[in-house]
Amino acid sequence: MFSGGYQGKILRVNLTSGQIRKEDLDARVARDFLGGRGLVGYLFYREVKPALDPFSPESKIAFATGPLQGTATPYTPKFVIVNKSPLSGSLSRSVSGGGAFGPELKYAGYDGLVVEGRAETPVYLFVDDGRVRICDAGTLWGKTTVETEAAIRKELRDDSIKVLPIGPAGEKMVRFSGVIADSRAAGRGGAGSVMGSKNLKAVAVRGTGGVRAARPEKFMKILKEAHEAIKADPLSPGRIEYGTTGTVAAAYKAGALPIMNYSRATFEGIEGLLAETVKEKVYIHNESCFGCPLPCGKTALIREGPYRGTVLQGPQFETIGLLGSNCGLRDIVAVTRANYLCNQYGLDTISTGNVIAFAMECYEKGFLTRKDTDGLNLRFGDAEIVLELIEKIAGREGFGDLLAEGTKRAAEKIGQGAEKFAMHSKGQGFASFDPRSVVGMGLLYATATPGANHSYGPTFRSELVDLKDPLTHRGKGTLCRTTQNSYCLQDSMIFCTFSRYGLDQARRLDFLDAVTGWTYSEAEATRVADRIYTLERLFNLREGFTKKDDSLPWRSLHEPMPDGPARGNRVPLEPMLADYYRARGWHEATGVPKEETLKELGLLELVEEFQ
Amino acid sequence: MSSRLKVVDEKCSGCRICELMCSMIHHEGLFNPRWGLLRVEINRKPGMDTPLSMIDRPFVCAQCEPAPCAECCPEGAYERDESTGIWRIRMELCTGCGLCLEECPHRVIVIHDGRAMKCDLCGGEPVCVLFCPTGALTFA
Repeated sequence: MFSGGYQGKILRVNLTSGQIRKEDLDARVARDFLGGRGLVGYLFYREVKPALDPFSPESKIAFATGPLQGTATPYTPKFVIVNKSPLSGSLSRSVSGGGAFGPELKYAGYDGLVVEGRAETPVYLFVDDGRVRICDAGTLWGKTTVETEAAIRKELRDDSIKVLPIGPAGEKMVRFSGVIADSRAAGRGGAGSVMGSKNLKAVAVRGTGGVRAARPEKFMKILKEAHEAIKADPLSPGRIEYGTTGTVAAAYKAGALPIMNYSRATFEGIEGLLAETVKEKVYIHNESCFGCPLPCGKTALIREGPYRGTVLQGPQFETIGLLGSNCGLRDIVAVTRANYLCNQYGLDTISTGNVIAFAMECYEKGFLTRKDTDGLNLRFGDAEIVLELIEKIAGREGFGDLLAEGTKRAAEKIGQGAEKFAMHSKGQGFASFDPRSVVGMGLLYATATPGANHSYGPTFRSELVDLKDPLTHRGKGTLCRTTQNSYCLQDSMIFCTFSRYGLDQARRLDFLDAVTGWTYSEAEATRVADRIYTLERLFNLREGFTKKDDSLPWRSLHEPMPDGPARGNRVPLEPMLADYYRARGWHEATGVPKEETLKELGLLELVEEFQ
Repeated sequence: MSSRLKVVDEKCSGCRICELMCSMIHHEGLFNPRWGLLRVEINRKPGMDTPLSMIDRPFVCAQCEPAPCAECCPEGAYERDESTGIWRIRMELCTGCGLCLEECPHRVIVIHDGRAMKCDLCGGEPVCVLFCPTGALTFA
């Protein structure tokens, strides 16, 4: 039984048959997997048949909240989207705080929404409390994300409706297209293209019910304390002033900011991308996500030049790294415009910057010529080229069609050894950290469920601040398990990763207790996290993944960093992997979870039934 | 002069915690910002000439005097506490007709479960001000 937080219902929609049904959420499952990513991992392990093409109608996509969504718990605007990644074929979750969609889904009465099947023609889904309709989206097809949001609100005559749209890139099944609501992306893992494959243009929600906390007095008390702790955190003011861009300087100083396809660690144009410049040139206003007391989002406006009037949320650290320094761009205004285009078309800025930089290096090396690139001169640092490639990728036009397949598939088609510097793991492009300078990030990229996704538990800060040892394998296996576990919990309760400002794990679990009435010790919470992560591993193993796939590209493993603080360093992956598998209770030689681990995590019966 | 809620537009970051907490206090623990007795307008696509204070902007009950909500009520359900200046709705008289919603210049009255509800300043310690993280709401 649920006494608070949860709504106890999962909404199921089959777009092929048009069937809509509401299913009870089993409280024991919620207790074991919390919600969000953990809950969907459990459902998909049971329901998603192995080896399905992520774009097949039978494949599923889930939009899930956790027990905290909709309450005033700090840092809980988010929701997750879980699907099989069209980049890697593994399980993948993306996360967004955009548009208060997660809380609204709760107010409508659901903890999650699972969609399967494929509509014959473009549709959008309207969840209006208990009434759920599949609506025609014929006139919306081809529209940008922002246009789609506005058009649906107009059609339904209610500006308070929350809309989760895909853009043209999702419709064209660009493998790294995301879902973008109010300028905030659930970017990684190709959720936009999976929606596109189902002819699902958007999900719209209106919720007039509400969410209750199991222990309201306790909730009020700890909320006040939490607000005070957030204000008192010495790091909060910098976060409010610069958002995530402070990390640009930190990553660059560590030699980890990606420069020109992760080829080096020094960049002449770095000043143009630092937090102070970003703030001065484009940020105009601090904006909070829904219910969040720390306004680290920034409204940005381009005030002069050819892109005058461009307005969006961002750009943030990852985008600046990938579309900025990784493509050789030094002008934040150009990066902001590139970010804007990606948002409009529904592209993940990280994967987009990754694949463009890869193409630029191929061009530099002569693996691609103007004959291949529609006549474009793909030089690092050329902003116009980056903007034009974004257009081409989103529309799969000409050369853009190749890049729309993602870095791994593009490398396979280009051949000539280009895979050596195709910076991905399992097909998912690297994020904004070069692992040669912070090697634990390499272990994370290699072992994260969907491939090289930084938001599965970055080790960056701990390696630099706590271990003070970013260049060797020592302690990285244990650390990586810890950071991944922390993300399992935050993705399942669901907290924003920046809840670290003022909230430690004890406080997070205290909110879970006040909202759900369920008490978890830190040890129990760790067991839940281990359970979630290991089950994702089992999902991937059933798909045919092996230890061999826990890998990094040749450049990370064999090409010494040419300059910067990590000069001469490479990623010592093998010793880190051995430590990591050991820390997780998986067989060291194969990376397969041990039977005793499955028993300890309470997964054995599930595995025996669905293996 | 009794204390009033006031808004400092340029400080608001649009977190909507005020609406969430207001909803919780006035609806027996139920969180949903649409039931809050104040509201925040979010306009994050400003044009070149939009004042920054218009991007995220709270609207609160001013306990107006004269009060359009009270004056339009066909049931005479509104009454003013002379000592505090707070307008209250006598629930037993409200029919939920919604006229006051339309007349309210700040659009901060809601109809919930068939009855109109409005800001009562939480009896003197408004929860919206208590939890506003940016100082955009004040009570003085």
